[in-house]
Amino acid sequence: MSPERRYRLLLLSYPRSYRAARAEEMLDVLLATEGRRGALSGMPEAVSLVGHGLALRLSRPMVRPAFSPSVGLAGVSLLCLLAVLGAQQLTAAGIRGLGLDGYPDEWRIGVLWVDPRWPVHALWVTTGLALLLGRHRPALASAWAAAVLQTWHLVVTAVTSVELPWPGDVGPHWVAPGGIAQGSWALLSLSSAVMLGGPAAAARAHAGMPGRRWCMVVATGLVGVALASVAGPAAYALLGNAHPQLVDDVRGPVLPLVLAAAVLASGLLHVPHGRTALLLLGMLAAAPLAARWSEPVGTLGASMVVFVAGYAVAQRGRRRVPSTPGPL
Amino acid sequence: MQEPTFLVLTALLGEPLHGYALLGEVESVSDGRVRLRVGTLYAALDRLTEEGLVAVESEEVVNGRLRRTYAVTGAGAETLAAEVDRMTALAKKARARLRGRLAAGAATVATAGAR
Repeated sequence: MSPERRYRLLLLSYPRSYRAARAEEMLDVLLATEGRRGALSGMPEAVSLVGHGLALRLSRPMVRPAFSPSVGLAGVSLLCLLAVLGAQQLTAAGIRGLGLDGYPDEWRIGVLWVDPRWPVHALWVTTGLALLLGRHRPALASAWAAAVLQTWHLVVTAVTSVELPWPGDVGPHWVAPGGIAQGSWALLSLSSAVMLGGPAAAARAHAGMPGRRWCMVVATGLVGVALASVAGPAAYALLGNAHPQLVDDVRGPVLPLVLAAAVLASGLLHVPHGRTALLLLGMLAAAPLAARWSEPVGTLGASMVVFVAGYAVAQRGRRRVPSTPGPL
Repeated sequence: MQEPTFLVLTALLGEPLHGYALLGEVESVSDGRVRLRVGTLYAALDRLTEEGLVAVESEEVVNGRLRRTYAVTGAGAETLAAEVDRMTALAKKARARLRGRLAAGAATVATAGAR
């Protein structure tokens, strides 16, 4: 092996960006000193090069893949929608618990006063409010708390089959709905927290669309919550027990989410990176939709593939690593 | 200040030097006692340029490779001067103590010889 090739190999221990700026210069010196070094001094030189190269790699801050603006936008959007969903779930549980919805007791299986998912819903609402107020660090903490708590729910549900114990459980045990549906929501909760990145990235993503537009999304969703609260009992009064699923859908999160998503989409279409964010959101929406209508295992796999593919697409415009080392 | 850093700064006080010449000058300044490795030299140069004590004076392409010439900055000269003062003060103290010890040793030897 020629000395040049040997030294080039040794220089691989240095970070790529450092090599781009220094490798040729160092190689010049190494080759110039090759002659005056004795035959036995090659090894210490090699050890020195590798040692300094590795030390430089370890001492430099890790260059993390940058979250592209579209991923951040999609993350904030998703959290706003989850905030609307959380508000709807809390409202429905409250109305149900107070017996104000006029439904028969048999329907309690859907939303119970003691539904142990309420902390997750409350955390979603908290996250949304924190984002709207520009408090990105608390928003991030709240988003992660919701994701972890929901994952914990999922694990406990899987372990205990159907019943989910909870310290605040004062009534009959809550019967957990299909695990895969919960899994899809947990996936979205986790995805939104990941897509938010750090506080700085969250702030940038939040600034990607005017603050007034974010407020409109959530406000529209809350209007949808109010409408659903009224429309559910109205539909029940009209249809009775003939179409329970339809009534359940009317009073559920469909209306608030559709309204909020419509306002969100109209806003995202007019901001930079908004269309890609919208595409990502569409991909992510496939998870809960598929969870409702298809095979559980297939849904989980499909949603993971969709998420990974969407993330990869959005990362195409990721930030380049600086090509020159800091000191120069 | 580490010895390689000290020697690099001292070597660059005379005139701006490129990497290879700098290695030779360091060896010369240290009377052949210190032969810096290339990795060590560039680690020291990185640190010094980052701290603003050394700057790239010029760049030229020789044999198809970039060759940079480095020079000590004003801040580098001041830092080196402070380091030299510190080392001189330390050396004085050490010398004074050595004198005392040598004198005490000589007295002990003289006493033992008298017995």
